Amino acid sequence: MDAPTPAPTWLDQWWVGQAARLQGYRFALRRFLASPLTVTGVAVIILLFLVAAAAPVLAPYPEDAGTTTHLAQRLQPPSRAHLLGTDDLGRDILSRIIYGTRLTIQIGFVVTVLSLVIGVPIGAIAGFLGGKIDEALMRTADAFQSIPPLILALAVAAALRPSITNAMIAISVAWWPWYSRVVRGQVLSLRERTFVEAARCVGVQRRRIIFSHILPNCFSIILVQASLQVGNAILTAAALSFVGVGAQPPLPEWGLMLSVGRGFLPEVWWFVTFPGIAIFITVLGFNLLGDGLRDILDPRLRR
Amino acid sequence: MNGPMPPLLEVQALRTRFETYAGTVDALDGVSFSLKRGEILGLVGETGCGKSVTALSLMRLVPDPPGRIVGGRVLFKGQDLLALPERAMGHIRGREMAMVYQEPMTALNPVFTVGDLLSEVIIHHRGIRKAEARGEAAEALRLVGMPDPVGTLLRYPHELSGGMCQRAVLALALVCRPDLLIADEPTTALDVTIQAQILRLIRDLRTRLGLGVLLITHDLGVVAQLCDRVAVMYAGTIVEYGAVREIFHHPQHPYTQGLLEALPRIQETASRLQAIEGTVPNLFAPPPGCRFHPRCRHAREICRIERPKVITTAPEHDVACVLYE
Amino acid sequence: MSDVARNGTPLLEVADLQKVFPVREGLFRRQRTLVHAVDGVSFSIRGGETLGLVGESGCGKTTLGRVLVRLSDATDGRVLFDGKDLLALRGEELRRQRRDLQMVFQDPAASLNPRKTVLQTVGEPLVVHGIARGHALEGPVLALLEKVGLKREHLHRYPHEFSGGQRQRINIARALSLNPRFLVLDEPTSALDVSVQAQILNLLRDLQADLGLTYLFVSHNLAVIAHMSDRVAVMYLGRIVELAPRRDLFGAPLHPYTRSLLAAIPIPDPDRRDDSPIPEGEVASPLNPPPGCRFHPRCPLRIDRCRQEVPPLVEHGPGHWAACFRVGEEL
Repeated sequence: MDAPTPAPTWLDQWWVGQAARLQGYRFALRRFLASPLTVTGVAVIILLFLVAAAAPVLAPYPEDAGTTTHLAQRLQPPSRAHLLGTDDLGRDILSRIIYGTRLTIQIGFVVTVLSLVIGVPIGAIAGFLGGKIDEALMRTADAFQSIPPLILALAVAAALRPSITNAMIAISVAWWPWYSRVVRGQVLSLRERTFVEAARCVGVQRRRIIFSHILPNCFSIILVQASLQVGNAILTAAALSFVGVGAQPPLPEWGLMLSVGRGFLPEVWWFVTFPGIAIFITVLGFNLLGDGLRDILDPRLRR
Repeated sequence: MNGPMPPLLEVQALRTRFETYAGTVDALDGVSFSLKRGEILGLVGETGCGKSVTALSLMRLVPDPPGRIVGGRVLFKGQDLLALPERAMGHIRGREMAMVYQEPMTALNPVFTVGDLLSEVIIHHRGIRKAEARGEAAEALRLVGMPDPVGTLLRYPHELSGGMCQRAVLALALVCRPDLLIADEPTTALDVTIQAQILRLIRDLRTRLGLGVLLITHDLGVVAQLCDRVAVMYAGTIVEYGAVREIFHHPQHPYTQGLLEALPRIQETASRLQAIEGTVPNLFAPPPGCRFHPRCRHAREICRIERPKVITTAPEHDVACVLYE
Repeated sequence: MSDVARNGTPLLEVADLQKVFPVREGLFRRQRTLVHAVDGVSFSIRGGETLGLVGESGCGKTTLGRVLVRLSDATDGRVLFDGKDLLALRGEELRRQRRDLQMVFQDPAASLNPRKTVLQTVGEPLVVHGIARGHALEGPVLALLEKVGLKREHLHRYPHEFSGGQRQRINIARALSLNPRFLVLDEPTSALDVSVQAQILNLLRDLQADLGLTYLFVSHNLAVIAHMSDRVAVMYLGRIVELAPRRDLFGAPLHPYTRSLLAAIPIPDPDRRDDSPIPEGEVASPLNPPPGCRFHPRCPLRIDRCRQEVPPLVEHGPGHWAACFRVGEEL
């Protein structure tokens, strides 16, 4: 044997470990990017974020996103000055759509995070403890789910003062049962897995099993479900705004724009069409992302 | 070497490749063997050696993508199966060659009764009427030793035990009296006593029907008890091939020797088993030259460079190892 | 080492152990059938010894192992470990007692949390029992890895980066982390290839010699049992039908079931092909066990008495027990 090599430091070892993990990620990335649809979804979302971030720079008329009005230019068709036309208060629709991306992102994430914060712990506790606690929690979830989500959100939003914030709370209240069921199902199946038994055998306490063994393995499925639902959250918020209990004027929320623009159809087609297309593209992008995530994460779950 | 009649099945330099995200795998890298009528040939090897892929390749059932047969010939009754159009292959599959798998409980469609499943195949291949088909179905179950054949026709797969399921699967496979039966680990999922019954059944069927059987297994005991000849596979190649008695009494390839030495045996009371060091190679990056050389006690320089050629060291005994050149 | 030197009292004593599972059937889940997975099992194991437990599916051997390590609670019976009543322990006492009895499971991949590194998995028992934490964990874990033939570079890797044999080594390292005296090995090599199995079996024997461990080795593979065990117990549908030192069990089996098991295994010797009768019929379901001797429907030697009475385990030779009315009368 040649001269003894110095024992690797913890940094070396950590690096070796990370390198192995990185390789795993590289494979996942390659699979992810192999599907053109998924790549489209990712592109759309990246575009969304970029637009939101650069809104003040991109929007030709940034002040139109707020309370300024130009009544002289109301309801003008798309032109060189206003690429997507103007709305009923003379504001540039393109600028409002650009600023609207910020609201859209905010809605999507706040609703999702809130639903998760409520739904995941409930689902995990119900799944792990079982018995009467499980029954109690799941019947509560049933109660919430027995009302169609849009209607429930509508009721909650109308009960609270109509605003975009309350709309987000309302949707979360309607949606958390979905996540808790997904998590509960996953926890139920994980509970019986051999590595959980092995942990019990070695004396690991219940609390540690839930948080250290079971929940981390739920991460994938939660991520997939959440990404698939972000699009829905945006759609529902738009619906609430459309009906009047969500975003209030003068916010450049796309659903709100649809609501107001509806009244000017069919001659003023641009007022409704462009915000509608924006909603469509955004939701589609999130759905494609969610599908793509599911494809790479689920088979690995099964492995 | 073979008699005046050509062998039932002759595989020549079969190569099958899988293209995955993680890289390319040559699951089969030049596999050659032959099977005579009425003979039981064992294909034995450990996980990942390619024995199941061989079976799928013979039946042209390799999932494409990601797999593809990239080379070689499969001569079945003189005809190259790899050159046939899919339609012609469909006629052969099930009628002249049939396959039986490892998990009998999941091999049968759970929403049909055994009678329905059998009748469907019989009607499809033989075109007779339904009532007649029932009679044939019962006959098929009798052939495989099913207790109460007529009653079983009315049962659903979940009502049958593992052994009975495997008998039903065999009945399905044999209903058209194929010439070749490929059995991929047919008893691995069964209890020992049931395994013994099924193996004996396969042996009887071979004798009664003149079947050629390609028996794929990892269990050397099964090979010793049932097979006439055996091919030992390792990492996509056949390392040793010949008559069962020859191979078991005079194993020549270091891998075969290692396998036999690593087996715990009831009679012997040695305190340590002779293990083969190392693990099965990663097929994404197989070792150069002889694929076994990193684990081989007798490895030499040349083993790292060249693939060993197949050498006939005795009648009915071929080895792919440089030690015998 | 102390367990081997201590002769006299056995390390583990099991008396009339019962484990019953209720199975709910019927539309309203009302009708309960009871499955006697373990139906009155008694045996003892001396320190340093390996008792092999063999049987086919549904015989209860895995359930028995799980009851012993308290993953499952027994319905009735007594288990004394080093004189202590194991089944009565609860809470913190039970947790502390777990350090003495550990289990290695059958499926090496499923036994490892895919999101935890080797260090985290093997070190967790030490953390949970307050033995070591954080950086201090590395030393003891490395020592354990070395004992099972793994290396420092494996410390921060994840289970999917290992082969089946290596994963089982990790499982063994975890089982050894608390310095147990008794290990239940539940089919530890059934999911492994022959060549790897040999490595693991050798490792288990070496560990037993080095650490003075006592094993309960559960398997359906008679050859492996023959290789590893000092004494062997054969189970059928929840009961022990034969219990004997290894040489006696394989050399002169008394119970018809043991004989049929031995006749059924394919021996890897082509010169020893025989056409002796193999047992007919199916392994009976534990949901609907036959009355009297549970093996009687398949037994070539059955008489009326076998259907009416349960044959007790009777000692027919030094340390050789069999539960059959027909033993002794020679055929």
